[in-house]
Amino acid sequence: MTASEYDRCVDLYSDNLYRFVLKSLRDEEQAKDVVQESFLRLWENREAVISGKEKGYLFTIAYRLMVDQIRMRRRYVGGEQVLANRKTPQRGEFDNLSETIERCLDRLPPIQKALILLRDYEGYSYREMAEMTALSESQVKVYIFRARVALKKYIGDINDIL
Amino acid sequence: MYDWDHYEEQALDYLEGNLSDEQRRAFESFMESHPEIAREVHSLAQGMPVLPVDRVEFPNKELLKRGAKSGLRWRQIGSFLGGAAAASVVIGLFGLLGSIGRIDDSIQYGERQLAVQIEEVYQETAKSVAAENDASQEVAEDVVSDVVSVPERVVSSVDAYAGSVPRTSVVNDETERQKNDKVEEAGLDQVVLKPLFADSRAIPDPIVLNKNIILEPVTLPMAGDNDLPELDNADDDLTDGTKEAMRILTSLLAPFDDLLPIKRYSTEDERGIEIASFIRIGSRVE
Repeated sequence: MTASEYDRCVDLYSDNLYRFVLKSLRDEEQAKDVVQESFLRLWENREAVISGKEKGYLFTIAYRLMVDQIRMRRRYVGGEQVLANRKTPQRGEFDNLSETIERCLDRLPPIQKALILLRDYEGYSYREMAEMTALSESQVKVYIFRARVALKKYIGDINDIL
Repeated sequence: MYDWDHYEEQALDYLEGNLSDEQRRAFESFMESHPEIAREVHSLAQGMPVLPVDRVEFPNKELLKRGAKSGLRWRQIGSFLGGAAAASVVIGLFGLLGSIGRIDDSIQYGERQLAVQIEEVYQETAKSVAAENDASQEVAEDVVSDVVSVPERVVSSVDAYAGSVPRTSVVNDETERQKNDKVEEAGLDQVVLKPLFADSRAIPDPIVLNKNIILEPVTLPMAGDNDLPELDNADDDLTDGTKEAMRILTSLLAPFDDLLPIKRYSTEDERGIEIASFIRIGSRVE
């Protein structure tokens, strides 16, 4: 990969990668760091990355970096408790559908959230997502199904409140 | 007999129309005997929640590109190091989850994942340190050519959380004064850089940059008290070691275009003698 090919990857994929990471981590600084690190690794491994597979490589690296981040959060900040204690929505809390979905997404376990983002925003197949996340295709489908059920239920709950 | 373990996978395939006729009939029959699952599936069949279109733009795209440069980086660094007259200087790039607390309210900074402790060794003490690092010293001559590649290797290999500032051991102030006297008499002999890691698995082997500069990673103690006093940032009184530390830090951070020193913190022993200082590094958010 030449420098100009790499720069083209930045133009093509950095926005989508940032969206994926930002919506997963919900922290702009961490998301920027993960994107930066992912592109750094792409550049470092430019000889090894197969032409045409750059996007998948970037998302795979970003996903793994995020998993590490989330583990660290749990270890040092008690992230699981934070997730478990997340409050239920109140009337008037959601101004629009987009915000509603964002909130719903935040309630999902991190891996389900990442898979839904990869599926809905990036259009990856279950097999591709399995490769990226080192899960089996079957596990990916199970997580996606659970996530859809949870989103549906949560959106239903909000509609009841509204 | 239907396989319970795979019902969720089958349900998704059912909803997306990816089952064969036989599989579909089997799943429908399974749902008849499990009304709760049938309700879930039918609810999704009426409308599958998917994420709405939402465009997000990465703010510093040009910085990711090769060849993108920033002239901003190190202009302020001297002033942040000013006044560091201690024998040990710790320069911290604190972890992504780190929270030192105070931060300049006017500018937002992101935090990074590396802390480097820099120890100055003066002539009198150099001998014993050299003996301890005998093996490293021997390697020194061989790896001088590694200097250029070291920064990127070190920085990019850090996956550890380093959000907590290590407690600095209390140094006897008499020893401290003697050591500082030696600075004037004898000059700096050796600088040992110690990148700090919270996770011992992330620690690379010691790296000798040259015979006087050793990169010796250590594990970061996860101290509870990380609220260090903030100092004024005067420009004078830089020790030789601090200057050398700055040179090395500049080199260590070279791969990152957007990093800036933010604030200097110091830690003192119980008599008020400054024994270490910390430079907090972050990236500017435009």
